[in-house]
This record gives sequence, structure tokens and C-alpha cells, in this order.
Amino acid sequence: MTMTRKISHFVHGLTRTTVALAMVVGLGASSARADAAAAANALEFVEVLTVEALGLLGANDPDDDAFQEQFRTFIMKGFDVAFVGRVAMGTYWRRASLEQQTEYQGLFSDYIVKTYADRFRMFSGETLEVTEVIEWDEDETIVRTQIVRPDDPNISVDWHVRTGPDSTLILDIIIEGLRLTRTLNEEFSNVIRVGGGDVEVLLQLLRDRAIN
Amino acid sequence: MAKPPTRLWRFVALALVAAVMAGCASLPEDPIEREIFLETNDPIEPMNRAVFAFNMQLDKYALEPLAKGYRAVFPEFSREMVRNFFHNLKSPVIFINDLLQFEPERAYETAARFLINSTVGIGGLFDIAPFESHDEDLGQTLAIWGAGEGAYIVLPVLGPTNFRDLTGTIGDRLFDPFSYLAETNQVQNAFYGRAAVEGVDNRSRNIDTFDDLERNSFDLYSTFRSLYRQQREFEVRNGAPEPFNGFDFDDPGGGGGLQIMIPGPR
Repeated sequence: MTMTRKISHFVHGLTRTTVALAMVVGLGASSARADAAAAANALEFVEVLTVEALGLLGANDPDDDAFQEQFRTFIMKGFDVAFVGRVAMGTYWRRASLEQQTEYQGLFSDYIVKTYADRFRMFSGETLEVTEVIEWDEDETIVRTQIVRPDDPNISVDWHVRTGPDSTLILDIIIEGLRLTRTLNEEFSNVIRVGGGDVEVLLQLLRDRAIN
Repeated sequence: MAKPPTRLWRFVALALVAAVMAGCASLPEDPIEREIFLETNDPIEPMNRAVFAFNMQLDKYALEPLAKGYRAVFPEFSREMVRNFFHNLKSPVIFINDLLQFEPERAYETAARFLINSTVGIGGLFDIAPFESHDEDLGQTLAIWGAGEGAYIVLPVLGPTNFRDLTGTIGDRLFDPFSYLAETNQVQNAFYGRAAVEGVDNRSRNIDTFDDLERNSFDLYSTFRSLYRQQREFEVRNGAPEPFNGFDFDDPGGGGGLQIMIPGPR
């Protein structure tokens, strides 16, 4: 599928989204105006971000260094990477020294960019449709989307968005029910636990990954 | 009267005995380790890790090559027919579980799919029914009835499960009419044949995902455990997101407030 068709598919999806958006705003008007505003904000944020992601894929050779850089900018702008990093390390975070926390956050963002640039490039020839917007409370929203694949079953992708007073960021991404933060947390915290409770064990693995 | 599925029972007995032998590990003293221990609900982790390592070797030397061969030799349409055929055979079990979960609409869909696909779809080879397919099993039904998942168990060959889902697997087998049909017609080991083909097909559809996890995970055992558990929860919820009230991120540095240093074990 060409990029133009992909985008046009996506835009077509957006018109459907507008209906959903109108419903969210309409329903919220009487009871929870603030929630609805946050939800609308979250929806728009996800839409803009995913259009940008598709553009990123279309315009670049994924093996390029330039792609990696652009992908990093994209991740840093859209996701609360510091938050994801803390949740990934879990309670051991409180046992790490300030130096370890700082080094970890640097290594973690490299790890996320590297791993996900790799996974992201497999995404091609597919379109994304927003199916539902769920307001959790006044600042957290779940935007539910489907990756529509012509020959295979759709993939469900949910975006957990936090709308703050001056910034909107994605806290988590849930693919077919699998939460990024939970998966990372159950991996990282066990790596530290099996390594005798020493945060250094995880740091060393991340350092090794960074140079490979 | 059909015989109980003796081999499967032997598996269960083995798992239970082994679990007892491994001795349910005592609660760790370190507060963070204790928290993880309770969260992961994996009291027989040392034994599970050993079985997991065995399964990974089995995968490397048998299942993965088989799955790759299967994918290379058979074109997609024939693999899809195999998949449709076996999924159609599961319909009675899905139907019963739909009912047990008080989902008459989904039960109706399952029944209609079975009738249409078994006839017009030529014995289930083609999926032409107007309803989208869904899965249900007794493990999910027990979860809906309020049963907790119980300890995590890695079975040899069969892979990850937990006490609840293992109970469900055995129960489903007991009310699967096709296992009785196969037995009365002297089709030996039909159950295992079906499981084997499904296993290979399933693996063949996950080659890339599997490679990705092997390449990227720092502890494949923990990653698989996490993914298994999340996938089952997702299936129990029939694909809905977690309810707001049942979810917490547990941000250890949340709010940017006071950072509490918890002393380590040493």
C-alpha cells in the first residue's frame, strides 16, 4: 500500500473519530466538562502523534541514522519516558542512589528508542483507526485504536494518556492487552531481584545493550 | 462411558508432587523481594525456571524448526484452513463456556458459526460465518466466577499456565464431545495430535515475535510469565481495557516528592 493511500485511510478513520469525539464532548457537557476536555485533548494528541509516526515511516529508510534520531525526538515528545523508566524499575528505584537513577534514565531512554525503532519498522502497509475514547478521570484517558491489517486480524492498541495543566504525554501503550510498563517492570525488577537486589546488575545490562 | 484422560492427569499429579517437593519457597525477608514474590505469584519459580529452560531447548531443536518448515512448505491459505478446522472443532467447548459465563448472545454466535462453518464451510475448513470468532475456555469461566489464578506453573512441552487455567484445561477436555467421539471411533491419541498441530501452527505465527523477545529481553522467563498473565487477563475481559478502579501504576518516584531510600539487604 502506498503512503498516500495509507494516509488517506487514516484520514478516513479520523472522520469516524470526529463522531466519537462529538459524543464524548456531548455526553460530558452536563456532568463532567473537564473530563471531556481532557479526553478530547488526549484524542487529538494521539491522532497528531500517529499521523506523525506514519509520516516518519514513509519518509525514511529505517536503517538510517537519521531515522533513529527522528524517532528519538518523536518518542521524547510524545511519551513520558522518565515516568515509564521509573515504573519499569519499580520499587528498586527507591533503593538506587541519585547517581544510579540519573544514569539509569539516560540508559533507559536509549534502550526504549533502540528497541522500539526496531519494532516500529515492522509496521507497514497498515492503517490505524480510533475506536473508543475512555475518560478515566480528569487527567487520564485511554484512547483505543485498531491497527487494521488487510489479510490478518486487527491489532488492538490502547494509548494511556495523561493531560496535565501544561503538557499532554503518553504514559503507557497497551498492545493486545499487554502493557508496556507492566511488562518492563516484571522483567526489570526480576532481573534486579535475581541479581541479589543490586540495581547495578540492571545498569550493567543496559550499558552493554547501549554499545551493541 | 469414556475413560478419564489418564495422561493429562498424570501431568497434573506430577506437577503437584513436584510443587510440593520443590517446597513452596518461604516468604523473602527483604521488603522489595517480598513485594515481588507476592505480586508474581510464582512460589515454585526454581522448578518453573528449570522446566522453562527445558522447553526452550525443545523449542530450539524441535518446535521452531517444525514451525518454520510448516510455514515454508504450506501456503497461507492451507494453513488458514487447518486453523479454521481446528477452531471449529472447539466450538462445543466455547459454546458451553459462553453459557457458563451467562453470555447468551455470544453462545448464539458460537452455535451459528459452528452450524454454518461445519456445513457450508465444508467441515469447518472455511470460516464464512457472519460473526467474528471468539475463544472461551473453562479457565476464563472460572475467572469470571471469581476464582483467582493460583500459582504460576510451567508445564513441560505445554508451557505456561496456572492452577486455575490447568484445572480449566482438564475440565474443557472432559466436556469436549470430540474427545469422546475420537475415543469411541478408536482414533488413538486424536487429542494429542490436535494439540501438536495447533502448537506448531501457533508457533509458526509467532516466529518474529518470539525472535524479537529472545533478542530484547534481559530475562525471558520473567517476560513470558508477565505476557502469559496479561494475555489471560485480557482474554477474561474479552478484550476490554482494565477497569479504572482496578489499576495503579505504582510510580516509585511519583509526585516528585520526598525520595525515600529503602536500605538494601546487605
